Amino acid sequence: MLNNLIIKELKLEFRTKETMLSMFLLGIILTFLFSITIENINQEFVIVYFWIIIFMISSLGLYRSYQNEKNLDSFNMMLSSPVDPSIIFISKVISFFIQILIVQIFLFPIFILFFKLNFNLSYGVLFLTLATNWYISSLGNIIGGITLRSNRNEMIIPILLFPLSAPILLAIIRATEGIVNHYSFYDFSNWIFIIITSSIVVFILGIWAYYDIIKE
Amino acid sequence: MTSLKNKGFLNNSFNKLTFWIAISFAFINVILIITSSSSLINLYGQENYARWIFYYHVPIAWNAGVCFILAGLNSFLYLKTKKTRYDFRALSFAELGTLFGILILITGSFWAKSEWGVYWSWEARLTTTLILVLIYFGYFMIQKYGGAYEKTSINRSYISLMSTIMIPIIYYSVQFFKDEFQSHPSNGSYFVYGGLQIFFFSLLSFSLLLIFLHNYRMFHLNKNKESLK
Repeated sequence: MLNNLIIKELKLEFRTKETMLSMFLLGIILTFLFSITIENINQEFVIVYFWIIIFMISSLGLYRSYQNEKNLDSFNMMLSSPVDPSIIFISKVISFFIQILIVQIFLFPIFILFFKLNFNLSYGVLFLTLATNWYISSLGNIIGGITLRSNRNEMIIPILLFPLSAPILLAIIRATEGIVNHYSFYDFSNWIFIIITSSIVVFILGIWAYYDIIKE
Repeated sequence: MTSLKNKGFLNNSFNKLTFWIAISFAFINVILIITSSSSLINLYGQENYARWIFYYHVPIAWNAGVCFILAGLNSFLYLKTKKTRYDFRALSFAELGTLFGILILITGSFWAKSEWGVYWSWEARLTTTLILVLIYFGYFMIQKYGGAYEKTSINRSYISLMSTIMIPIIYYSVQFFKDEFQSHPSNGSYFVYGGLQIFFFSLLSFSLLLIFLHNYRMFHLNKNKESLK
């Protein structure tokens, strides 16, 4: 069942590609603006910009994905099917995780090109990026569910997403800096702990709460 | 307008008692702090009147912490039992917590000015408090624009529950982010304040004020129950 739901979500997205395209375009535009307006960029700034851009474009993507559900009233139909709502949540988290990852894969070379970086991708950075994407996806789907019955969701999604992910934003930036600059592990192990625990906690909270949040 | 709507709050003798006790304690508190000895305002051997803010800042922070914890607890109870009275309590505590949270930021800025010379220096506890207050702004956005009451009350409760994770972060941020930000005064070696009795009196008076404000808000919410739903 989970496989079918994930395939459905991804098929829906890949048929039009509008969410991913708009996320990607906004990402390029923001990268371009940051790179032409700021001189003397060092590596720390680049990591900060990258993650801020990722958080901004994921709020756009979440808005699009839940707006589609609202416009077609497809969510109520899905709820009336005999599927556990937590499986719907897991499928949505996984599909949005894949979408963010694809956008990041396409955005990252452009980022390197525009900012003239020489950046060696390590396994640590890759792992933390995946964990943070998982956090964004879980939290974003909870918030998307909250705004599903509201008529102001374009406003509420960023207002809730950014403060709730502020500690994670700080943590991923500090941890990536630590790995890239080869600091000792104990200097940034706290931040890694924050990222991993909050990804797990938010995911479990979503599984537990999703039905309560989206039901009418 | 609100005062007219809430006519009758002071008819209850318990409410009257809490009102007068809170008001008189707050008044005595101000008098005590201002007329206390000059050792209270002694900073590096110099008189500094901004130091008085300590006797407000810490009790306000205490109140905000209590409010946010109780808001989270009542939200959890509401989600468990779906009884409206828990939701009203959670809403009242969330409002008071946000109010005291904003006051923490203001008084903390004054203290930062006297201590470090700038109003905002990204001190760890103030920064994390700001994040919590911003989350609660989202909470009120949901209350206002989230749809019908039955939906928003549940969604709000989840936000409140999620934000309780910030409270231990705020508490331990002083040790946790030691190298990242400006250190908090209680963490340094220069914690030499006089007037412990006055501090505890201030704490007591602010706690009484919190009880009164919560009572007042609950009275208001219960009275306008129908308009909320």
